[in-house]
Amino acid sequence: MIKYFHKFANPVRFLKLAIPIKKISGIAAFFTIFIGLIFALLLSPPDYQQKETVRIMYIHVPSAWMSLMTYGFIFLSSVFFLIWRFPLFLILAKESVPIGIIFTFSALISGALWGKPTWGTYWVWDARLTSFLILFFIFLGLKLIKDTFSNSSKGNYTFAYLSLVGGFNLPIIKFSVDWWNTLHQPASIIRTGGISVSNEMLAPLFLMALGLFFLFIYILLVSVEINIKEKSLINFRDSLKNN
Amino acid sequence: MSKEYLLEVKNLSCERNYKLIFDNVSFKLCSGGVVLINGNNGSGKSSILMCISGILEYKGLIKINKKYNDKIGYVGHKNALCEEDTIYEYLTFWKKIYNYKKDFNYVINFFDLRKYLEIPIKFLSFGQKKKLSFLRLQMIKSQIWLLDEPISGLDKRTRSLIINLITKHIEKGGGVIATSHQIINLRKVKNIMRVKID
Amino acid sequence: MTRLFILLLSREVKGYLFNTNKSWFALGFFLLCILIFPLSLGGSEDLLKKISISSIWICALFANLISLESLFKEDYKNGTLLQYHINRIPFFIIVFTKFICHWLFTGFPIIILSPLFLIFLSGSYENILGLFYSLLIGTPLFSLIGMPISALTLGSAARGPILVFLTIPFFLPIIIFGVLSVNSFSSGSFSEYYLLCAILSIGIIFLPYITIKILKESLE
Repeated sequence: MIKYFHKFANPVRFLKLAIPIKKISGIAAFFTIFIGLIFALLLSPPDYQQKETVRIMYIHVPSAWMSLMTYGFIFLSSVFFLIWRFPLFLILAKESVPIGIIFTFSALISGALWGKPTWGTYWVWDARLTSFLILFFIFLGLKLIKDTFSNSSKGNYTFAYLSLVGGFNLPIIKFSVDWWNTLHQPASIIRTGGISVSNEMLAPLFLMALGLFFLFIYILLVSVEINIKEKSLINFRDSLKNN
Repeated sequence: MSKEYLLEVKNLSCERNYKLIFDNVSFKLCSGGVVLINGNNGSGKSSILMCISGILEYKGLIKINKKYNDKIGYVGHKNALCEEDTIYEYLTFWKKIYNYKKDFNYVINFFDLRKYLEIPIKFLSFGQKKKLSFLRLQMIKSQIWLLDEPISGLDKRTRSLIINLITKHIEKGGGVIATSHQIINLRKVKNIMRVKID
Repeated sequence: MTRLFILLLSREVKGYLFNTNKSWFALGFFLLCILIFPLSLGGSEDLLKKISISSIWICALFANLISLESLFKEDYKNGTLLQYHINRIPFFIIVFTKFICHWLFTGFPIIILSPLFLIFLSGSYENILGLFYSLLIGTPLFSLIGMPISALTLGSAARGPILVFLTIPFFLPIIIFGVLSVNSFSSGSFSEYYLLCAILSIGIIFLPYITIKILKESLE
């Protein structure tokens, strides 16, 4: 296992592998999102209750899934970094933070926009929504740490530990808000308004999710490539200075 | 060389902020010897000391001879002084920490600090603070001293005091690793090794 | 070991006591924060009564947050931590002394004064004991959770804002359970207390450990 990682932990070798994947996933992201949008906006039927507003779901749900997945990814790569100390894992974790922020933000915004026509309010202090907002703030905190300690190896551990602690904390937060909610708010609106999802809706939903997943990989690999090249550029500049 | 070594450094290299600072540094510190590390600013002199004291991560080998006590005394840019404390409080605190049984009167007189004992540290000058650092160093009772720029920024008198202190330590069988971009004038010491890093 | 512990603890307490800023800062901030609540409610007695417990909890949170900044700062800046590390003084002693002192000078006075402030904010008398207990479990948790984050941000330029930003999300579960526990105390249910105790007992093992790790990394 470790040996297998070792092979790709070398940034240069990683780039060699990553660039084709980047290209493929970029193209795949474009086409899946394009087709998914066609399905979602034109071909799929409107909901009998929510009418056309249900189409917000095709943005909202995949981006919510993706933001959770991004946090899981950051968490796992931080753990790997702390165990095996390969800087590559840290670069992967760090570079996925802005993507996570964007996904979470779009999930929150689209959720609010969706909530107004269906439930009559933009925001409810529901467990899921609240913990998502907190996830957003944790993402922002990670970004803050990432930026303040940029170009110093000192921030590496700071970042990894913070994402670790945040990862443990998220379920606790979810749990606590849930607890707080069940005690003090009679059955929340979201649960009563369950949407029955038909196959015609499921297909564009999964297409969009797949598209966003490819998009995530594409953006991640682009920023990792930039990061690695930047670092080698700095090393190159320093070696010029010394000679 | 039949003499026992106190500390051996082999193929030491260190990376910091994604940059290689120094590479393949090797030397041996013998009992009664001095290692002077020379180099320009930013060449990683301080980093070597930090590697030896176990703060930075490094690659290579650092071996401390377990026959002697393996305590390390370190004097760096930061003097570990709490600004609000008086000198007396500072000294008694570190004395207790190091379990130093003897009285520190002798050392205080040596450094000419007797009349300042009850003065808070924030009123002291740079040189006096440095002296306090060396006072603390005396109490550790370690064989190995790591001195980061021990004499820079000091006047002639204090400088000679500190050099005296170092020579005394060496005569007792200790070893000193010092970094400096100035020339430390250790006339009485014979066993001086110079390491240059770039 | 105990000798070292007592030595470091006494030094820490001394540092807090004689540095007047440090010792009264948290409590003063708490008082000032408490003052805001009645003033901002426009004199509505009824509303004040309802939010009295929450406001005391919020003020306790902010008092703790504000004083987190100075937790390791001094020792880090002047190199004392470095010397501790080189001289192989076990870090768990340092972390625990810091934790105890921080709680003693920020959490403890607030706990003692909380009944007074509950009445001052026209809360009901039944809640006094509940609030007292919940703060007793909650404030050490604040200090414990704040410790690793305070250690994380050592050496960054804009430390204060970052610290606030990072810490508050982690304080949220505590404040949720804390406020709930007071409310359910009067009806005779203690489930939130047990939960807080559980978090405290887990936290007191793991959080100092993480703090030690982070402190060692921050030294370089």
